[in-house]
Amino acid sequence: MRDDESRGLWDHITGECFDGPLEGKRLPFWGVDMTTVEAELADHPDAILIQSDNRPWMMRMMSVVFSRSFINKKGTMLTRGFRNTMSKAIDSRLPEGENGLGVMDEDNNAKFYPISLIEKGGSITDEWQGRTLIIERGRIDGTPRARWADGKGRPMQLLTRWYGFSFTYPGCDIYE
Amino acid sequence: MTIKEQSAATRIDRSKKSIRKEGYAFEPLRPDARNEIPLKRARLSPKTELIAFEVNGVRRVLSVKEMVYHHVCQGELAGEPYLVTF
Repeated sequence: MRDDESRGLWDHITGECFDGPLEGKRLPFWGVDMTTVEAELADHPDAILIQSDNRPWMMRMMSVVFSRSFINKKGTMLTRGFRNTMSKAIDSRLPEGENGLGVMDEDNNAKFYPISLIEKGGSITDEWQGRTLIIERGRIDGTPRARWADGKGRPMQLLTRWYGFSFTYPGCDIYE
Repeated sequence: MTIKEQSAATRIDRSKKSIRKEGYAFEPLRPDARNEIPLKRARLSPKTELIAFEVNGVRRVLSVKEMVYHHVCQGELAGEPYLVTF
């Protein structure tokens, strides 16, 4: 990702500038929730949608290309061109398309929780970075979300496939 | 090398970068109040996938299909600038 002002390049997951005059700087980051309309309205009936007013042909085309649901699904569609952008082999500890919740902090400590190990509507508890973490899967959307058991907020988290998370956080821990 | 030492600068192979000289491959979404509508009034199916985020306790949702095109939503909410990436 490039910013218009400095023309520097940024890692869109960790918020780090890795090329350009701001190299080494880092933006504060926080997680988003992947969900569905029905799940969002169940918990937030007055939810506000930000709607794009720019719907060119490319956007409609990509909407068709990516029309399959990716939440909770296994399997990847990594094209040869996409694979050629990878600087090394994918970490083989898990299948490359394994879907899960990645949890990380600003020191680049990270742990991957495969979604297949958490029952829909259920939860797991884990010790990470000296604190107790609770990961719950939504009963409607099936999406995992992490929160600290002490009630003090949520860690940075990302619903992601294994290949992407392991490239960003090489050698990360895996929940088993 | 520990995980902490693996910053983006050392992790990313810059020789593989491909940068446009001008413009965007995907135009960022830069919303203002005119782009906001109640979700229950939007013509979306119940299974439509969303990205939800909060800034200073104010919550908004984005359509995944729209973010597949835009990749970036950049705006201001509750007095804070934000950037959502996909």
